[in-house]
Amino acid sequence: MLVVQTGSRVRFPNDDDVNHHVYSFSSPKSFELQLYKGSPHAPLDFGRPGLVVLGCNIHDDMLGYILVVDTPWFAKTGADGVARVEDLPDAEPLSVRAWTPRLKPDALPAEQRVTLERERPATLAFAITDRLLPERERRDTSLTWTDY
Amino acid sequence: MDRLLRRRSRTALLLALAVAASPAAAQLELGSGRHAWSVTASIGVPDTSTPLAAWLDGGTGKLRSAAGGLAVDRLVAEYGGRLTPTLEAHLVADWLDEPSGGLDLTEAYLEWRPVPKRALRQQWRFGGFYPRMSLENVAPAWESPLTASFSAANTWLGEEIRAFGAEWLGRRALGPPTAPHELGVYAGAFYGNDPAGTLLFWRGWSVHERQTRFGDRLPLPARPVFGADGAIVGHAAQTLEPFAEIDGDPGVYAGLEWRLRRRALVRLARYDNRADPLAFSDAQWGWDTRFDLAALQLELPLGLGLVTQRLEGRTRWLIPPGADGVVPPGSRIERDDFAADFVLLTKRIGSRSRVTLRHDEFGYDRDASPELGAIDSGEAWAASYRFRLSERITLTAEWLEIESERSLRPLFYSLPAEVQERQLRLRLDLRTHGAGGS
Repeated sequence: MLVVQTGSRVRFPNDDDVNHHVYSFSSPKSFELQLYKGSPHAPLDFGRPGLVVLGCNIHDDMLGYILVVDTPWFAKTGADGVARVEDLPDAEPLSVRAWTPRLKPDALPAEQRVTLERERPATLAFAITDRLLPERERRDTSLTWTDY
Repeated sequence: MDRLLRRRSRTALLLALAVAASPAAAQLELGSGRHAWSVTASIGVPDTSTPLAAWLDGGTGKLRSAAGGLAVDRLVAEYGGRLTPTLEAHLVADWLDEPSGGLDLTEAYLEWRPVPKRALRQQWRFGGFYPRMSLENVAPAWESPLTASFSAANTWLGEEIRAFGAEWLGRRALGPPTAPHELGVYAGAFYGNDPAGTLLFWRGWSVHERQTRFGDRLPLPARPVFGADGAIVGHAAQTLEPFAEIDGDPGVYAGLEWRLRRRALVRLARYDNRADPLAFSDAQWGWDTRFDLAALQLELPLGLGLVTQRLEGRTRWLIPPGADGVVPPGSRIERDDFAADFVLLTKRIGSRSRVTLRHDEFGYDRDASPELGAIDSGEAWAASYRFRLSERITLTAEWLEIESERSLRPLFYSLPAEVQERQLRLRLDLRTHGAGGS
């Protein structure tokens, strides 16, 4: 999961010791990086905002997200659920949105508005009320699950 | 703003989405190379108790061998090669320690996985391969990751079923990419495999792990020769080439899968070789064989795994089959029904060992001839303990017991109808592998 601003360039190094074949058919950026290890491919431009879902054509289990946002002000939460956005303009009304791949778009928390006072940090809380979509499973199972 | 600009200029993404506990693959994984190969030797030491001659010696025994002593159960080489980023070649070759053994292929196919353009992921196979049926034979080279022997249902698939053609598989998540449900559909069309079913009538179901190679000519129990008064006056030897194409028409199969993460998998499929029972070629008759398959794989509480599968079908064949391809006067096409199912429970113990208990039931009968009784009927139990000593060495101890009732045994061969066969086997699997190219 990665958040970048529209117009960013993203590198896709593969540090594993097996090949990956990264692709996306998402509308903001549809692409394919043929089978590789290391960093043989030039960085890609992400010029349109939206969600880019990444897959690997070799490993069906693999999944990644790039959220391309049309603003310089964004941050990704840590494990504690806290994100800090800095260098925001004062005295202008700002709209703030929270996003996670683990909620359906219509279940995402409502947008909030805030106007910052000079040099004074503000805290906003986004509560998730719907059940989260399941994470990709990484369970150790008793059976072997091949081909998936 | 400086900081933002820096962040904007370049961002690195690591695709280190490592797959935990690297699940076993159904075929050799190519990893980082363009070529990969493996060789596995399976050495078994069976202690067998059966009154019947083994089917490979022309008998009606349900075990692979009636002999004891050390034997090479399988020496198998696998090769995987990447031809393009989306096209792979796979070969599986078996060497068998049998009179007409030697080296031959059990699978040889190309697999093409085009890069998805939408949520549907497609996969094609072209060549000679196992139709997508068994939920038990999911280790490389169509082995079971759980036991040495296969269930009766899948032993038969390994003996008589193979597709020489093309298979398409399409899968997609039901919902967003993380959705827990996935649906798959597949279909195949193939040549060859027209005599499939022959072994089930002449020998009946069996429980072992021998897989028929492309060119194998298998022994069948001898065919009784009837005199004018209907009495058996002698026996004629006969053999089977299960993958022969006899009538020139392709067979088909199709299936449906639903998966709930790594917890549940359901597969429903139908196979139909569409063989003409009046077609004859190269000493083989067509057997019009069709079956349905329902299978379930399920994670249970307490770390238990369950696999169950039912296979139910019918075959239509010519009785009596003229040895020379001439339809004998007074012959007819009979319809026989067959079914086999199994349930197995498995549990991993630590990271290296596993215990598995499997129960099989099987039957073969002819509604039109109730006087024949159970042409083949019975059940089997298998209990296995598998210990992975290292990446290269696996040990299996397996207890197998088969009880069967078979009316053809007294009728054709003056052998008892009801028979109990037992086998205790130790098996050592030695595997070596390598990779090359990049």
